[in-house]
Amino acid sequence: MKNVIEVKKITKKYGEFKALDNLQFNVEEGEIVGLLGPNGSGKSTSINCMLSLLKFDKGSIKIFDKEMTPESYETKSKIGVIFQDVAVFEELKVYENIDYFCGLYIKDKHVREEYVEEAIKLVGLNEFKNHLPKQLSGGLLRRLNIACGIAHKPSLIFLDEPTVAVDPQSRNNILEGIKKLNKSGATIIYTTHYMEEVEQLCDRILIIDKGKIIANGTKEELKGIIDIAEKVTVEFEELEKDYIDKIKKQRNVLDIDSKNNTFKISYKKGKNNLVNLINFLSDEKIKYNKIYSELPTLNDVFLELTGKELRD
Amino acid sequence: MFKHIFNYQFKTLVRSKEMWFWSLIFPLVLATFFNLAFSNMSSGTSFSSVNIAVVNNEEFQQENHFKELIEQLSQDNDDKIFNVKYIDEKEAQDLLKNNEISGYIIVQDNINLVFKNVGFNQTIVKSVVDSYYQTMSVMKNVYKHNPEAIKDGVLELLGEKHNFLKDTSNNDVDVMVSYFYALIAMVCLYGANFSVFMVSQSEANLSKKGARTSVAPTHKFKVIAASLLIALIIHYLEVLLLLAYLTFVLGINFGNQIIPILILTFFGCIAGSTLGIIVSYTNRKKEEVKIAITMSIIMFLSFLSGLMIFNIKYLVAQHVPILGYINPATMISDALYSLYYYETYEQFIFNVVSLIIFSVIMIIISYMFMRRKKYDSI
Repeated sequence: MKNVIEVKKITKKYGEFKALDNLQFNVEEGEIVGLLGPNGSGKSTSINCMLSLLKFDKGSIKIFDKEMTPESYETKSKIGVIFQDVAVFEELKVYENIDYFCGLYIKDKHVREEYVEEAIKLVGLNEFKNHLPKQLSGGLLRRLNIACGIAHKPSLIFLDEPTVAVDPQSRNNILEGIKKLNKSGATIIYTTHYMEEVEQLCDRILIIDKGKIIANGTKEELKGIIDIAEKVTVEFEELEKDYIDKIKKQRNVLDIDSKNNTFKISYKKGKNNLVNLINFLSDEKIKYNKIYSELPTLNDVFLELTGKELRD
Repeated sequence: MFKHIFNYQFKTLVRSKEMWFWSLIFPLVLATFFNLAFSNMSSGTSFSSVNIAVVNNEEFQQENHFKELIEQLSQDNDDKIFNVKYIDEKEAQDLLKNNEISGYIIVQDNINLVFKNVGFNQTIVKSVVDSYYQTMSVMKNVYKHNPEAIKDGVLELLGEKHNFLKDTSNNDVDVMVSYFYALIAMVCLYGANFSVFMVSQSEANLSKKGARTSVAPTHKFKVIAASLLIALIIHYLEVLLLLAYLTFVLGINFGNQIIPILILTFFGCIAGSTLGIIVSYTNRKKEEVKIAITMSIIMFLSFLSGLMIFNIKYLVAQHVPILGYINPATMISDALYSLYYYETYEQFIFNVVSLIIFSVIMIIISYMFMRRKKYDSI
């Protein structure tokens, strides 16, 4: 696969503050790459630099094998952008908004008509074509925002937190739409701080913190780089003081996080951790209400790599 | 592409209720109120003579032409303007203090006017004295350069005093029309709001719509040019609607100068647009804040040009004349005034050229910001 985006050692400073610090990564054709990080980690800044909207201090960015500049009109014609904030004209109807932005890319009126209709269908706004943005709900407005960014059928799409403040139904609709776009051949860069979305959607995940890529891989690969392999949650009927010490001595136990009557026990790689724990509790006649096991999440990855949670 | 942007920007503007309100409805309402206020004023006053005092000192006695003028203006006939008392300065001060006179005239090195406050009567007294100075200045110049011409000229000028006095007594019309001139100037400058609206949605560091436009494969200048052009056209049409309303509905007489007025208001609209462009580019506040800043600037400039208080314009001209030369509202209202009152176009051309220079300077400064392609922050 050839690289669609090549970001090489980008540094962007605001005064003394480094928003991007030697940021480096590639995106291959046809991938959905998730840029995951907490608020202020540099996700939007990196997108704005890639789009040549923001100046950066060091490094280089190539898109479709060409240096990206504000005059790269040929490259720009293949790119679609969905910004974090809704960017539509309040005075124009749904159809007109999509047609206006599509018209900045596609000159042929007939082709544009066809593209606009397809975009409306993709985001499910058929019934709202003649509505003004103020007549739409938050979720529908987000869908319009997406349609405005992708109507011209770009082969590279940047989505900057498109599901912020969106209801679950609209969120699913948006994620389904993104999958469809990818299936039709578009490469997608998706920034978010919702790890569930990234896990559901992305082929590859870049975890970004303080302007640096701290991990890069598939979700399985990322989960493989941390020590935690399994997390078991136990809710005790009654909690005795020595439970923690007793459980800590068990095989593969890394850490215990206790809250009220509930323990969250982190295990390193090993077999039968849950079975071993149940046997131990039974032998010790310790009563519990429920017990279950989970695989580590990307938040665990982030927590182990940075010492903080994704939504801090 | 240009046509595509032009068409859609047309739709956004004509559907923007705020724009219609501020640039058309508000001025029409204001004009209607002005008209009601002034028609009441003229019917209410139907001109009664102004009570003044003249300090009867030696200097006044030596100022023959002025003395003659005051006597003429206080004769009991249809042209009577003043009820004059010839008294000493102390008595004049007392009368003024007790509000028995609107002001008094004291001739020392110059002809000085003393008022307790500023109003319609005081404006009349001042206009008489100003006109006297103007006439005397012309006569002195003519005498200096062509003494032969003055032989009959002095007599002619004095002979025309009757007309001169009539013109002076018409100063209430001056005030009324001047308010409408200031109003037209203000509306021309309202084009600034259109520019703020248009520029904000074309620049990535000013709005998300601007960011979306900036990532498209379309030259930024094309987008801004198409947007500003349609804004200028719509705004100019609104100014024409206002002029039509003033002329045909309110019956305001602007003289038979329609073509120069159309030219002037066109350049006035351009000056207004450029004012908005520079406000847009020189700060990064939200669009609503920028509109508020623009409105404040326009109202301040209009205030200085006499929109709210007629005499402010003259106070500015007297004490800070430079403000009059750089204030586009004053340039527009002065040009309208000159079209109505002067037979030559010198003042008009001067004001139009001033407006063009003002616009060019605004565009040059804006261009410095406009040509930026990447931003430090967005």
